[in-house]
Amino acid sequence: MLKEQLGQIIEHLTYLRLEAALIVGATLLLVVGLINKKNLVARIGFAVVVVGSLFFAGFNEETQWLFTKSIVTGPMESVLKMLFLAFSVWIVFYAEAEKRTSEFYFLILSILIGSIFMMSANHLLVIYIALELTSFTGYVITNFNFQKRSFEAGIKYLLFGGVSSAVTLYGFSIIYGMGGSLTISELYFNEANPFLAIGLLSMLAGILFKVSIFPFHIWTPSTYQEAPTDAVAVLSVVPKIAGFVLLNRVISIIDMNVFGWVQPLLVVIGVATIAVGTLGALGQTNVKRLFAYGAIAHSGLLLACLLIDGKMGATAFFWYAMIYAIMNLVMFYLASLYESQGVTDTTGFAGLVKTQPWWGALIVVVMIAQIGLPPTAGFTAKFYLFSALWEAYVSLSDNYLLTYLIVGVVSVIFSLFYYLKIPYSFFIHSAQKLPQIKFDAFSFLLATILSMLLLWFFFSPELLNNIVVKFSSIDW
Amino acid sequence: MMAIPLIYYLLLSAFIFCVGLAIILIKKNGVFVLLGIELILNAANLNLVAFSKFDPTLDGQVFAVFSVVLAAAEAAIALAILLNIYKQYRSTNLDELNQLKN
Repeated sequence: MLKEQLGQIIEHLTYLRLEAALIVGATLLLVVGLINKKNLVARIGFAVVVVGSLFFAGFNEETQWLFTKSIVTGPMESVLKMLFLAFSVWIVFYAEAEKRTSEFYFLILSILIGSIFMMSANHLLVIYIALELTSFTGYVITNFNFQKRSFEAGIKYLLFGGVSSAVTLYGFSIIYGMGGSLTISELYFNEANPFLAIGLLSMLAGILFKVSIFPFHIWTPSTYQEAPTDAVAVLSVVPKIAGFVLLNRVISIIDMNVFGWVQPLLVVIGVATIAVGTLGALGQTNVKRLFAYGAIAHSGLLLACLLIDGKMGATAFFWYAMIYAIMNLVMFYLASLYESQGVTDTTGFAGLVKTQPWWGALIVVVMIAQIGLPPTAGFTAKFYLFSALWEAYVSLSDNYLLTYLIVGVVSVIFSLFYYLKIPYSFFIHSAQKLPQIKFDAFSFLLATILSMLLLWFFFSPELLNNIVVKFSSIDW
Repeated sequence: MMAIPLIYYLLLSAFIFCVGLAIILIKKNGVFVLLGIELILNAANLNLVAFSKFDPTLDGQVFAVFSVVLAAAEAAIALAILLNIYKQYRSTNLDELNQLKN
């Protein structure tokens, strides 16, 4: 009996090789940081850990239930795991003058581990621990500039996050009492019980907080503004995508006939998220704060993918998530380069076209991708999303989906006004005294390659489409 | 000894939850807000332990142990940040943290 159980545990652990490699690597990185305090050593160590863990990755064709159904790993999860790692290794090239570099990268690795477990969790305890792992590291990493304002952003993030995770735990306790189990796939919300409704709402609070959906988006602008830019690039992508995968798993256990209010509720908060993000961004002057509001609007659009059932929804979600990740990687890379030269406001870009016309072109490409216009991959992602929403509306004739679609399209028009602020300042305005800004050839090459990816995926989307085909069997 | 019915546990935990939420909403001091968060966590733990009386696998009690540990970790991070805030602002009043605005 015991031997059988031990054998099963060891067999299941082989599916978690990648996570184990990350955990061991993160610990080693921390130890190496104690011995050698050089920035370069920590950066190389981080890259080695992330790339090395990628060698342990495997693709699961079929959904595997591990450890008495507390962890699930299927095609979507195993692909996203690899993409998270492949995404976050690029942050070593960001222009940051960090203190305590090895600890910083240790925290980034912790965010990755937490997000991977959050994405594959199927048990309330695993969900709670994974949510808290990403949250705690997020709180600490927000303070990593060690300035007055970053502490303020950190405490705001912590208090909002703490309250929402405490409420989530309360929701978990009620669900445990009413449903009699902690395993998500064994729960099924098909009974009109007010306690279950309270538990469900409280549980959603914590997950919606992680993906910065209205009304749990308040922490996003100040955190993104004050956290180190390379941390923001990870924070704005990895936990968000993982949170949406988890949210999809949670929503799928709700019987929509009994809990009929869940779908209208999600539509309302999704539409409100798009509105808050888009309208909030209009008045911003700080670059990273503007991007934060843009990221909130993107969350609202990503939420729409969860309301579309079947393969269409999974395709739209994957496309949007991938393109969102690449766009944010380039955008925050550019932001970190200019921030290292002291440009943090949109007005700081004034007149730079005279000295750096090519950088202006790169900024235009990235901003157009963020808006979602051709010829960039941002258009492809939005096209998949809106056409999936339209198909779902036609087949279900659900007016909520139509509302969502209209608000999404209108938000694209509004986003023209704020994303084009930087190119406008760059090309049209002139400055009395041009700041001396010069970047080295390597950052020039890297920024060019990453921006060209956005154009390349528009003209040849086969690579991403080949990955999407593998999800056709999953239960979305 | 007569067992205490479940409903009393639930009422007590709902009361603690409400007190915690009220503290979070009313108090302006950062440390008090933390206290409110801890109260909500304890309300949830009480629920978990009470419900696990009816669960032969005792999952709820295990969950409660984990959440106590996580609450301690959160408090440690929060106090570290609050200490830095106090050094910079000479106050832990949350209303005075107004450097970041639109």
